[in-house]
Amino acid sequence: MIARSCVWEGPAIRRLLLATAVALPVFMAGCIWLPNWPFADTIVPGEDFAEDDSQLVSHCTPHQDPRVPVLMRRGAAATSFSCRVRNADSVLWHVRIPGEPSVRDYVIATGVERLDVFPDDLPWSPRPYRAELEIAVGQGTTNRSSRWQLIVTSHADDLARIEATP
Amino acid sequence: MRRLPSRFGPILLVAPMLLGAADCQEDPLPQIPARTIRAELLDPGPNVSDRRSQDSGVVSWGGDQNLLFVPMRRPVSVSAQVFEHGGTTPLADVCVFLDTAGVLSDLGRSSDSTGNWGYGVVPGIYDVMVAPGCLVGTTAALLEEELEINTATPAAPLTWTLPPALPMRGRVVGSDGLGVAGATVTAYRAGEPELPLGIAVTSGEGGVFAFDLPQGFYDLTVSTPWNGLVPIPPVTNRNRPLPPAANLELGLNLPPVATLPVRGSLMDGSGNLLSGRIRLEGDVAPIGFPVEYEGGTFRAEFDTDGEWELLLPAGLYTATSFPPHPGLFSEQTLGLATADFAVEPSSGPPDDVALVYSEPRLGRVVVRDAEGDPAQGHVNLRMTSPPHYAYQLATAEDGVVVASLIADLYDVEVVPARDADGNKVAARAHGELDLRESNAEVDLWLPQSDVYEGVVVTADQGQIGNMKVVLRDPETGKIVDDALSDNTDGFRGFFRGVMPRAR
Repeated sequence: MIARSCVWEGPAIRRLLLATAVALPVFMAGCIWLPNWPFADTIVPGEDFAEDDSQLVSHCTPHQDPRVPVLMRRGAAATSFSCRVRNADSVLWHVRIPGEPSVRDYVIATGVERLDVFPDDLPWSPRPYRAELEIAVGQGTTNRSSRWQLIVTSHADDLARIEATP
Repeated sequence: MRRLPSRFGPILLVAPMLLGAADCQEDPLPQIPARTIRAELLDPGPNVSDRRSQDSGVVSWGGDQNLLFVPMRRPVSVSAQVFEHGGTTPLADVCVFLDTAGVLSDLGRSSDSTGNWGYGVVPGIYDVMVAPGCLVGTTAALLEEELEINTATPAAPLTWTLPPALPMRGRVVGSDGLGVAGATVTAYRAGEPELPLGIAVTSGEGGVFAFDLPQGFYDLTVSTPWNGLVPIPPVTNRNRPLPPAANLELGLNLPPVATLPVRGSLMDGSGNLLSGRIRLEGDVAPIGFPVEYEGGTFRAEFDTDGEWELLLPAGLYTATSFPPHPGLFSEQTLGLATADFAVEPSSGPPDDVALVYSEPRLGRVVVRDAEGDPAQGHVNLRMTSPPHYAYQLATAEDGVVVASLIADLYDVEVVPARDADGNKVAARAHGELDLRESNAEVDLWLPQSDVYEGVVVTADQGQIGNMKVVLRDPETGKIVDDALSDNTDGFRGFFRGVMPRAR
């Protein structure tokens, strides 16, 4: 609830002085008004404002760049991979492993914009290895795909003893 | 809706004061209750220097006509040069991994051909790992913890010089005194099992292996490689000072564990052999061993075309196979396959291990609007157990999705359809679908929601366009909406979406 307190009931001169004291700095601030700074002076979002949906896939995080590998440490929490996908007919997420281990290529998700990848779900190897996570997006005859470079590492306690299910 | 220019603000503020407020009426309550929301910002790509993905924390929306302000911290540029030991030879193509809280995911970038490295990052305190060979070679990574990167950091490039590494040799020796070829030897910093060092080698003829290592204390593991083809018990040597003094050869001795051949198959419920991926985990126990051995977990993971055979050390094993994801055009027709088996020398080779894919379960999701009527949208289903597959399905006209799925507990997220004009009408709804024990159904009601307008803004840059804004419930962390901030001159930084009404 917003309530206004009743400080204005005194003599008119007091009201005028107080109002002047408040108004002056505000007025001064108005003197240094700069057009469209820091915000646009006028927006009419109802008429012109619309999201740009022209890109089939964009805003992928982490960055998709061959020089920006993503470290997937076994035992660590999931890493969230996401893109902004618009107007797509199909979205397919692959994991691809070019060398060892022997599992080469498998689908891990369809349709979603965001995927949590758990390092422990990736094929196990005592030796760190490179892998790729790919998102392939299709719209009609247009296809876009891009990849994250992954470095999958092992954990020193991977080989520690755990009780097997009897 | 049209907002007045800010220059009218003083007049609007002063006018009621001059006019007096003798009646002291209370302002009406806002028509829409205020609420808080957690915002994340996702940047458009690595080649943009003035925006970086980040968690903006919890922000408040006043409801009614007030803007939702989402603050962005401006990225700062940090640069470094990577050198070999001695500090004179720059190192090219070195992976640099950055890790910190509050920034979305681990980040990194490799050095260029002249050893220079540079990146724009959100100000913060980072753990940095400088890894020649990107951790998949045989050179130890340099770890620099709690590096503060702020606006003052770019004053001078950082210098990262790898520590001197000394050569060492070792030998993997079986209980018969003979060297074991093909074993994987992996080194970790002692006491930091989760941090990879970047050194893993395969023993060669006679069990011999070699690598260069900075002086220090390390944990060493000896194991079969990923495919399980070397039947040795897993061994972990902890807190060893390495390299050994006076060029001594390090001996890694394996305990005497009997091995037996194991045959297995992978099939559907009808007995048809299927190809697939098999994960083996075995508890190799110390009981009965004449030498001190703490036991360990034998791990292997491999593809099979339906039948497989391995020589395995004695122990209790679990074999698991994840059925393939159906991809785009069909439903999940197989569930998980698991089988337990024992490898006991006294009993001889075990019977064939039959891994049979289980039947999938049927899940039904009913989507309703805030009034309880059927609503349209897309339903995202995410497994909460390995292999954590995810699926998206569109509702039918009656708001229902029916799917054949692997038995598991699923996170369910409903992304509501837009109205005929393309406007969002409701925030996302979340729930769970529990298919662990049987087929199941869940009703999800879209929350009563309000349209809001927001702006992405920094203290010194003003309004920031082309940022994906992800809004999450501050308590559950679930996504309620996302939007894209405008990048045109008139509306730069502004975005619009829906937010659930507070419960």
